[in-house]
Amino acid sequence: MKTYKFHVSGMHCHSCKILIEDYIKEQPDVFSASVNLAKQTLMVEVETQDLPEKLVAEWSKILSPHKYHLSLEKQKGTSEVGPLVYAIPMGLAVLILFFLLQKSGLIDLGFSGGFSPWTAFFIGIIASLSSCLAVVGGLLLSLSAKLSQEVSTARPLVFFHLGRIISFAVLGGILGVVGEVIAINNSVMAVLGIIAASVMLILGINLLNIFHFTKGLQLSLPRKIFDFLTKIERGFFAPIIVGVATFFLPCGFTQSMQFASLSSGSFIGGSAIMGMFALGTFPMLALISFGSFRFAHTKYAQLFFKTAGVVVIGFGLLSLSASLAGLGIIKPLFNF
Amino acid sequence: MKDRYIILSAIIGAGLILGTLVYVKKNQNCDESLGICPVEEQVVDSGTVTEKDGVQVIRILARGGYSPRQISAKAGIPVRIEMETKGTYDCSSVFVIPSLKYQKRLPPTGITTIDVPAQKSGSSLTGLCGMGMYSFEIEFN
Repeated sequence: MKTYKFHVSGMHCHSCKILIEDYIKEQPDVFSASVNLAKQTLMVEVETQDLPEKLVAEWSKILSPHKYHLSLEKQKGTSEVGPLVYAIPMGLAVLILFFLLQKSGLIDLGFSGGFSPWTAFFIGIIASLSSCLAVVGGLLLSLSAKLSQEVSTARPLVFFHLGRIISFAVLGGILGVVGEVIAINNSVMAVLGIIAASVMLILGINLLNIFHFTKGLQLSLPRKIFDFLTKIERGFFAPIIVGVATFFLPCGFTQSMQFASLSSGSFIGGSAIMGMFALGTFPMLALISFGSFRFAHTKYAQLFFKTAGVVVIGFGLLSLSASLAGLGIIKPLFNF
Repeated sequence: MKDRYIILSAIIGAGLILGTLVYVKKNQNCDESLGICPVEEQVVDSGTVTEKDGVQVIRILARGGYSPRQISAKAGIPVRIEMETKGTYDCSSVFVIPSLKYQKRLPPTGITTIDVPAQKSGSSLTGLCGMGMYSFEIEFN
């Protein structure tokens, strides 16, 4: 029995660890295999006369289609940091563009006259460009980029959007029936905002893929979600639940529409308002999620992940400081 | 081939979003029944602090943020804040003043008054939208 230590590059998450361990354990003469995600190493116990060089060559054939690289010597991190040179300015450019859009007054619209589901649809489109984008869009960008690293089908994204649109219509209808009983509490909203911001910050740092220690520190929440997502790649519950959850995320427009649904006084009325609102936000959110998925499967994938990481961290910090200000804990750091 | 569909749908998506912005902004002959008419831009007398019956009245417009954002008022005199909304459906309609534990959903159009007791000199009040993205501050001197 011999124990060998190999270096693995290309791992970005907990499920990579499981995947590699599963593949290596299937190999002949392998007694045990264990991956250390933080150190990016693979420890193997083998009952063989083969030299470790031969094992590396053989196992690389199995792992390289999954974009993992196995070696005896530790790889220099140049290829990991390289795209950052481009990713940081690109990510910052996206953030500045977002900031300018908020400042431009282009999307500060008021609506006069009666309120119809069409109003809700237009408000949805405007909402998808507004400060709400920092929370819902940032979260969706981080989740779809991370998801694209793990699964090879866009099906979960389709279920996310279906879950979002259908649940908005159904929950809006319920608000219409229940009426004024439900009060939307701002403190609860702010706490949800902080949770969303934390998920964004963790996934953002993860997407940057420069600090290996954060991989070991991944919050149990995203890890659980992603284990869940990968395990039921063909299922649809997990992405639908995330889609439903966006109903409760802090976004002034969503709250406004929820209030309009409350006042509508009927299931049909409330459901039309919230459903049309969700449809209005769909083009932008679809661009973000399916665009991420598309980019993640091109040769620019590494650049995309890192750029997305910068954007997501920016949005996460924005949401975090805004939520803290909303709770009165800190002074507002910025004002759109 | 697959890429072509993706580029096409991206263009349609972006076009739909931009088209909406232009349509709503420039909608002159508006059909009121659809409820997608722009609010006519007009100067409001927001931000002016007027004293009436020993109360300072501050008018603030809430739409796409608050205006004005920086207000100075006198200390030691009760304050009445009048939050004015005009077709407001954005975050600024979800209004909070954390230090007063005040939170209120402002109606899309109308005026909501908040009575605040006299404040100490040097103190300030911060009003925010529910998400914390928009804010204004009243300073008392």
